[in-house]
Amino acid sequence: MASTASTGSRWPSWINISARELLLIIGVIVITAGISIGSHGNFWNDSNLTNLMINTAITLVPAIGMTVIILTGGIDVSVGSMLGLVAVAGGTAFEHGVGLAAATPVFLVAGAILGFVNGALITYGRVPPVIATLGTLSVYRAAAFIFLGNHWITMIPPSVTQAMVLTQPLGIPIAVWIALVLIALCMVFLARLPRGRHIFAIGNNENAARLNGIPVERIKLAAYTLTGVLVGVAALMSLGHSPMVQTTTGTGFELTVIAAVVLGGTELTGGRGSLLGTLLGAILVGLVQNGVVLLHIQPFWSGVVLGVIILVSVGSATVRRAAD
Amino acid sequence: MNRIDWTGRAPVLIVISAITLIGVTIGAPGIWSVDNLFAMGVLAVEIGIIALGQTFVINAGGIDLSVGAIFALAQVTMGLAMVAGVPWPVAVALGLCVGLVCGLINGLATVWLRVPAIIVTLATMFAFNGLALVITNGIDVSGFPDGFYVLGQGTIFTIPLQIIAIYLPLLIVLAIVQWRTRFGRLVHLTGTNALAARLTGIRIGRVQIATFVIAGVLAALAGAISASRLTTARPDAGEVDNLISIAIVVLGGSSIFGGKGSVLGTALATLVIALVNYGLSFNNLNAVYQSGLIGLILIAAVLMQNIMLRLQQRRATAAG
Amino acid sequence: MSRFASCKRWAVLGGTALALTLSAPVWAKQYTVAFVPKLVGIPYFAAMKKGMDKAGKQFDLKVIYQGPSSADVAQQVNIVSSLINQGVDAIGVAANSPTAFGPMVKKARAKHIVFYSTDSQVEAKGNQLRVSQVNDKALGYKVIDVLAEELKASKGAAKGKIAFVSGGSTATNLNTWIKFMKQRLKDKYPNIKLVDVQYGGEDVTKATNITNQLISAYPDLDGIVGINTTAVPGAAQAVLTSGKKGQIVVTGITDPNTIRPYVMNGTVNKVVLWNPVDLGYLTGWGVKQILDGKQFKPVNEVPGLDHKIKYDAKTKTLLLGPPMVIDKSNIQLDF
Repeated sequence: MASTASTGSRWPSWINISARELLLIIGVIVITAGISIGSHGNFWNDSNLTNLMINTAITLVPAIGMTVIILTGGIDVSVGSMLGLVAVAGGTAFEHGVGLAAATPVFLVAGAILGFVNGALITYGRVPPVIATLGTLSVYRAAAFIFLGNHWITMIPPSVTQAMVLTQPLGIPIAVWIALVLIALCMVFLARLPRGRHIFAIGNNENAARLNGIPVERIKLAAYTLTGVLVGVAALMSLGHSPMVQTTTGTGFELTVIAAVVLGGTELTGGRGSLLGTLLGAILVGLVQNGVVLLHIQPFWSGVVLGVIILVSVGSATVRRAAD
Repeated sequence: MNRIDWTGRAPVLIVISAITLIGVTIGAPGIWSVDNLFAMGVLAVEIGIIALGQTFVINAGGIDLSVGAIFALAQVTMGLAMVAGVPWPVAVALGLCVGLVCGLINGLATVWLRVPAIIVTLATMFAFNGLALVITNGIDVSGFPDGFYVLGQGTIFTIPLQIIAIYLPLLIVLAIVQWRTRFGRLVHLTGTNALAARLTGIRIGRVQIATFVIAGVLAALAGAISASRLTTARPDAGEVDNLISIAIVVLGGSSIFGGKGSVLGTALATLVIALVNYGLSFNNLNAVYQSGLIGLILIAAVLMQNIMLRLQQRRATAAG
Repeated sequence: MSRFASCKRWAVLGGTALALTLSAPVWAKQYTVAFVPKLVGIPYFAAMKKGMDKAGKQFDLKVIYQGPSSADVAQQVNIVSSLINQGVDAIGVAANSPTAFGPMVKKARAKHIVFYSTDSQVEAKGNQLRVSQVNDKALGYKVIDVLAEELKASKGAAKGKIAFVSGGSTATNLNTWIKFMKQRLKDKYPNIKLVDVQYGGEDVTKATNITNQLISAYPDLDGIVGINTTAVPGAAQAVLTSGKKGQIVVTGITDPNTIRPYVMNGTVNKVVLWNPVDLGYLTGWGVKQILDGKQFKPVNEVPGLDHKIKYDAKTKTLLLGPPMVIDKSNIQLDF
């Protein structure tokens, strides 16, 4: 797989495109063509493209962190509840009249704290990642309920929507620009910096990495904290997209994020995967969710289609590997 | 091999149940009644059966995120069949077959495609859930023949039928399968070290497929009981059961990495979860506190065991 | 003599006090009434709870409010089961599924517990009281009339293409309203064409996404009707961000707190609702009547409500009243 840490290659791995990513690109093109024909071109409406891009960005940003976590051999199933609790914290700030600029740090810090708690349980508490984040999934959701009570936050200032969605330099909303910048930074980081390569090393063989003097615990802790921060960013984007905080905000979001990463070819056993794949995976998930209404069918089908696409995509990778 | 891991999570579980028991008793002394015991049991049976299947999958080194979706798909299949006039025992058999096929799909995809179980079952969770919604148009199914209601509402000597005639016999059979049969040993061997098991000539693929089939059929059985108890089959049922069943299995002492665990531990953990849920509900604390508390208990149980292990190791090194 | 008289007086006083204390539970028994909403953590049911608490104070009821964290009927049944064993005097639900409570109603009645439903009804025969916020037909018709009025105001005629965005596909009351809305469209407004019905659950983000896609799928859409409290703000947000404010009429069934920002900025002019606080209050009153063994009259005077309440003996239904239109003039209502 060309997309794994290419030790020895002179080219940074993020420029290479693997067979898996090629397949995903073909998938994106085919589905896009299918939807645009099926919808008589309505797919290309400005408002639909904006909606698609925003949704993809909201999935993509936490998926960047999730990719890094999965590369280290971990997983975080709590991102949906994290998004909800961060939205509660940030939304409360908005409710108290705090402006966008001053509230942004609230989102980021709240996310960082929640991600740090996950990371600390996993690294210092030695709780397996699935278990730790399964636990915090329900704890964070309960916390959101307790803070919010029976009340929904509806007074999100219009400036959030204005900043995240309606301001569109070169026709692309700010939220999407943020996602693109973040993923580019992380790609360079993973491919070019020693720390990035350490992440792959941990996923491939944690003990060997430790023996080689790589600070495994600290890197893992950083990965979970980073994911928390990115969830904070996604929460802010999400409030721009639909400015209301409910106690259930973000429920099930973790599955969308994990689906995007898995579709992108990152392997849950750690050590293999790429952010380019995650980007394509997020676009595919967005397309599938976007397409159903445009094709005039019930949204129930999106689950079936998504499930089949994941199986086909992951299965074809195995078939190809067997053929090699 | 221990039946229940007494050095591990079992003592932690017992401490937690003791604290819960004392707490809910102080809050509402009326909880000590046969009615409450049965109500709690009925609440525990459905998720308990799902968790038994999940135990086999996890012990063999897999994980099944789709059990909740199978629970829903199987019950609406039965429901639609009954509404269409199929006799209820045939409809239930059909539902169990749906569970079997779903489990087979999970198993075959995991083994043949060599894809981690968590990915396969994430995908099938989306697919099975979607199918359940598609075939019902997203609407509840109800209006079943009276005979069907015996599964979830019948009693034997005033004891709810699903406790005494379904769950307990099932638990005994599965415990025997786990500890007295070759298959049971193979499951643990596969989970402990798949590579070593393969080298000793065990067809680990078949073992893994069998565990997924067991999980699928049991999830469908739980779906039948639920549809009978609620006189309604719901396409959106079981959404939380995927993760709760995993939490129960881990609380019950199974290692999430496979190879270690027992159905009796799972049964004990089911009881603790039911106690927490019912006890808090009986004290009129909202459901969200219940799930939050279970999350805390899950983390605390694993943390405490880790701390105990570390203390033991320290003592061992100090002595040595 | 005077000493004896004083003694006697004290004895009488003491005796009366003792008798009063002993008999107190008989004449001032405080009933415990439980209400299980579709889900907790949502303003609509919190408003109903406010009304029930008010009725509790007025009629000396102890109110228990407990519900699931998501609109899940299995969780509701579990809660009802524990309430039955707690031995409360009355249990009621806003049902997530009309058919799932049959066995629970039987169990409750066997223990002489009053069973009622409010907001979203239970089919079972043993159900003793249904408290209905509005006549389903009147509500469905009213929403469509408001829509037609709005279309006329913005397009000059009651015609065009519209879509419905609903909550859960399994929610019986939402489906009933949709049925009556379709009927009204067919009977009175043949020029308004319903092109699609989509479901967004109890989630404003999903409702926003679905409406966005509807707007793209039908570029000449003229109106959107949201059927539940999350669908209307979700639809309004989608219309606002896609720059279609003023071109697409948004209305539906929702509460003032949730829709306020969109009414203030002009994306939404009118929505329809009832007063959920009054609904909770009426529920409390109705349950108290049953507990006291009183019969309902066809038209009832309810202390604390400014209008009379109709009762339909055949369906055992108390009806709160006609639907209420919310616009800029009364958007500051808080419920």
